[in-house]
Parts: sequence; C-alpha cells; structure tokens
Amino acid sequence: MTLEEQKRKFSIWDKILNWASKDNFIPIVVGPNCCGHHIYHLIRDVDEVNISSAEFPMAQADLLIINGKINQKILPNILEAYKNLGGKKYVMTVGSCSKIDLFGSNYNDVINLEEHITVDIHVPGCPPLKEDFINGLKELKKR
Amino acid sequence: MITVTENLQSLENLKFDNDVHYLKIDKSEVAELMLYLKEHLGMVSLLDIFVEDRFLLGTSNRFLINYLLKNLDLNKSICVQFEFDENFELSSQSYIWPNALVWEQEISQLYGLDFSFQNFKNSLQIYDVMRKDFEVKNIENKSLESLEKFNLSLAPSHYLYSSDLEVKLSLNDDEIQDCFINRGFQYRGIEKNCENLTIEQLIAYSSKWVSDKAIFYNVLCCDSLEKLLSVELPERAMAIRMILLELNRIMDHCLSLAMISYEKEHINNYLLMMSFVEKVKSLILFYNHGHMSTSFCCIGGVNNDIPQGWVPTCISVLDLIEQGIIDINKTLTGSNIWNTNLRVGTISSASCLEYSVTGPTLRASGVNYDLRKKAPKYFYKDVDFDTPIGQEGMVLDRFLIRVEEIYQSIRIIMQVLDNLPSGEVISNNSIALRNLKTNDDLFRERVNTGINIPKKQTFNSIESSNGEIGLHLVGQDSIKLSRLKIFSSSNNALQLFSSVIIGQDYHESITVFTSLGINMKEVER
Repeated sequence: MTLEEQKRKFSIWDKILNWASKDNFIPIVVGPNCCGHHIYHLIRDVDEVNISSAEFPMAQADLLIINGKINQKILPNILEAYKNLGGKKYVMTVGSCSKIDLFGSNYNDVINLEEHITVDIHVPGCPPLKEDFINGLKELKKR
Repeated sequence: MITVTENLQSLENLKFDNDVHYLKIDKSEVAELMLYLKEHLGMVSLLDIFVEDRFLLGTSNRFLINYLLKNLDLNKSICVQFEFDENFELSSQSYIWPNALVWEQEISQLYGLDFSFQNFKNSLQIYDVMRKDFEVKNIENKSLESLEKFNLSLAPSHYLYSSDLEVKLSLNDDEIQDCFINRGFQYRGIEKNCENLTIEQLIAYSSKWVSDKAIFYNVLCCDSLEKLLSVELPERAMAIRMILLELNRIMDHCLSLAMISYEKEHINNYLLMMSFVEKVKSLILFYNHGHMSTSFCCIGGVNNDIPQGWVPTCISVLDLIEQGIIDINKTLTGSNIWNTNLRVGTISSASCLEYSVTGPTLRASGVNYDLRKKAPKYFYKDVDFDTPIGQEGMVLDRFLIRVEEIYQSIRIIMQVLDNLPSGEVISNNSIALRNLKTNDDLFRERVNTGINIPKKQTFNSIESSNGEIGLHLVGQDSIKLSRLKIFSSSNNALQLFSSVIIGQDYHESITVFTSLGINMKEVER
C-alpha cells in the first residue's frame, strides 16, 4: 500500500465497509514453514480477537500471514496472493527467521521481504507465543 | 571387474565399519557392478546418492559420487564410491532402482552435471548452490515443457499442506492417467549452511531442520558426531534420550492421525488428536523450555536433567493418550463406514522394496523391518515391545499401525521410567562446556573455536516415526565439515506416491498422500 493510498479520503461506502469489518479478521496463511502448523492451530484457539478459522475465498480475505523464511520459488506465488486480496490488504510476518538470518543464508533465500511487500506488523519468536500473536492482532486492529 | 568380484563373493569377506563397507571402484565398472550387487548380494534398496565437491583439495577428478545400498535382512550396507571429472556423463541407475531419479535430479540441479536420462516425473527448480567455487547459473528445467496435457492442478486440499507442493494430474473422467509433482517451495539450503558451522552450532541448528521431528534429528546429529569423535555416554543420558525419542514418535503419529481424520471430516477426532499434540509439546516445554525446536542434546550426554515433578505429569499425560486410543478403537475402528472408506490405496510389499520406502508404510504391507529391533541403540534391546505388521498395505493398515505404535511407545516410556538409572547426565570430558554457560563471553568463544573433526566418513541412521532417517558426515581435519547429507525415507515415499496413484480415482489420491506421512520439510533440505 503506497502512502497516497493510505492518505486518500474514504467515501461513505468505504466507511460502512470499514465499520462492518472492524471487529473481524479473515486471514490467509501462506509460507510453508514450521510456524505454519503452529499458527493454524493458534487461529482456532484465540478468543480475545475475532479471527475466522474457516476457509474463505481469497477475494474476501483481508489479512495475509507469512510464516518464516521465503525462498525464490514461492515468492511469485505470495505476490499473486497479495494481489488477489479483496478490499483492505494487511500483511503480517511471523517467526524470527523472516527478519534475521539465524544460521546463515544462501542466495536462494529472499533476504529483504520488505522490498517486495509492505509489511504492516512483525511477530517475533521461534515459534511465537500465543500472547505475542494476540498482541500483534490487537496492534493491527487499531488501524 | 573380475578383481572386484573375487572379493565380493559373499558379505562375510568384507570389513564393516559401523555396518557400512566403503567400496572404491573405477568409473567404467559401475553398470555391471550395480546389477551384480542387487542380484547376488541382496542389496535390494538404494537408500541415497550424494556427491562431494573436492574443488578445495585441488585433485584432478573433481567430484566423488556415493551410492548407499542396503541389505535389509542382514542390516549391512555398501557405499559404492568413484571419482569423475566435470565433463564425464553419469549413467542413470533408474532402470535398477526407480527411486534413483529423485536423487539424480537433485544432483544434476545442484552441481550442473549431466545424466543420461530424459523423463522426470517431478520438477525441482533450484540453482547450483553446492559447488564450492560459487558459480551461479540458471539451469533450464526440461521437464516443464510438456505441461499442457495436465488438466487438473491439485495441491493436497488439506490445509496443513496448503502450499508445500503442487500435484498436477491428467485425467480421463475420474481416473488418473499421469501425474507431475512440482516441488522446491521449501528449499532452504540447509546442507550448504551446515558447511559453515562449528559442532555446537550444528547441534543447535539440527533441531530446526524438521520442526515436527526436532528431537529425532537432534539425537541423530549428536549420535553421529559422537561416532566420529568416539565419545561414550552415561546411562542416565541414554534413558532420557530414549524417553524423548518416543515422546516425539507419539506426537508425530498423533499429527498424522489428525490429518487423516480431518481429511475424512471427523472433526471431533481431529480436535482430540491435536490436543494430544499440544500436551506432548507442553511436556517438552516443561523439560527444556522449548516448544518444538529443543536442542536438548550435547556431545557426551544431555544438557538438562529431568526436573522435579516431570515424571508424574508425564505419566498422567500418557494415561490420557492411552484412553484416547481406546476411544478411537471404539468410535472409528469399530464402525463400518470408516473401515470401508479407508480400503483404498493398496501398496504391495514389492513396490515398497523397489522404491526402498521404510517405516509404517513398509510394515503395513507385511515386511517386518524396524531398526529398533534390527540394530538396537541405547536400551532398546532390554525393553519389551512389539512391532505391529499389516497384511494388505491399504490406508486402513497404515492407520491401524500408527495407532498401535503409539500404544507400544507408551509401553517403552513406562518401562524406562520404572528403571531410570541414577548418576550424571553428561560424561566427564564434556562437563567443562556446560559450566561455561554461566559466563557468556567464554561460552561464545568456546562455541566459535569448536572441536577439531578428524578426516573420516560416517553414516548413521535411526528409526523415526516415518521410516529411516540418516546422516552422512565427511570430516576434513578442521573445525568444519566438508560435506553433510541428510537422508530421509519421505523422499522415496514421494516418488512411490506418484507411481501408485496412476489408474486410481482422483478423490482417493489425497487420502493416500496423508496416509504415507510425507513431510515436505524432509524432502527439500
């Protein structure tokens, strides 16, 4: 999302949509790493924040959760998923290895993910604790 | 050729170092020798192929290729090695062992070497990262050209495997005619990263290779390093390692049972199984303050002793899981609908051996092969347990074997906890490192300087929850390794999957995939 898009004035219809989706996240989890299993299970457990655990079509989702380290082959698929999100587009990265090279890296890895996608929030941890994940969602909700 | 076969009249003439015999031959003898080994010496399965780059040594023949063959009856393996040049065209062994295609494709992509074959059943798009002179070049994937005939793209619909791999099918009505697997989405270059690490860093890294089998890989890495350095373990450390190995086996079996029941829309059973997974995870958290990636091993023992109050909680959790298994037997195995639903996907023992798949898949088709019985480590020979064996090799057999194995590993843990030996958890030589952990600077220095690894090659393998996993280590008389290779049965099982589903209904292919227990993190390292 560019700065101009963020600053633009919302119409009334946008405000109604905003109000309707205020309390609810519809996530799509991509990135085939070890945090993925953990996050899928966490989404079912969370009670504090409304996050839907059912599978929705890509056009209705508004939150993209990216787990762990991304390599060159899966990057175009993630960019395509980001393009197909409907309405608002929030991006959350999960896991320490998406930011830091824990044990060195080779050139098959994507080192700077933020060059390709604007990341809204990052949840650290290997794997992240439940409290951290909930806090991340709460921070995201303030926008 | 004749000089070689005179020594190879029978296996008794050969010298085995840790059940592996290293056989150096000339590159012209390969084709004859491989057939001879399979037919006369009973080397039925090809476990692994890997190449070592010797660019830094400056020898005239740059590459060294290793074929690891195994005789399952005697549990003896032969590693056939020969050197070759960059311009030499390797001959494919896929006409003897069909699973060789996967390994050969990896080698041709990682090193840019040519093989004399045409058709791939799966694709892998990576670049040549394993070369030590860091030449980067794009290799065109020939097999991707003829993709037009595949009219259905089916990634396994289960959400745990949503973006791991892509399966493309060509259909005639509902029947599958051909299949193509697109993989490489998870390739992280673990083996390349390991060449830059010292021993302590390597052990910590090993628990992050495969998240669901963190303990298996951690123990395997530590065990094979101990073989290289010839270190002995105290008894209490062996018992603790055994308990945690079996806990991981329970956890991974519960996860695969959960996946099968999710696939068949038994949501109650899925939630029950996932709660068991969480409970085992919380047990490991209590022991070592780590969720999944617990690097609890160290050379010469384990880092922490069992904390106070851990044993009673462990017993109560195991009781819960045992009751859950009894529930499953009542609700699922007793019902007719469940049993008829899972009577699909038969895999014969012959095709299992042809693709050298081990673990529950092999046992479900009626072959009694378990490394815990064949080559027992630690206290497995003193413990009472049974290996369940199936009859027809259907999905139902694989499901029942996993259920029974959970029960057997509970039996093992209970026996070990009853007779837990007392004493130290770490051998005397290695205590110095643990004491350094209080001082950060000294510890950091010690980790970075590392331990000298002798110039030697070892292969070590253990029985994981889904077949045999193994580790090749090649030392070069310095702190760091010259080559590390991870071998897993999942890689062969994926190749088996692509051949088994042909001629079947495409609805069943997802059930077959989940029952094989393929973990894509093991396949792409």
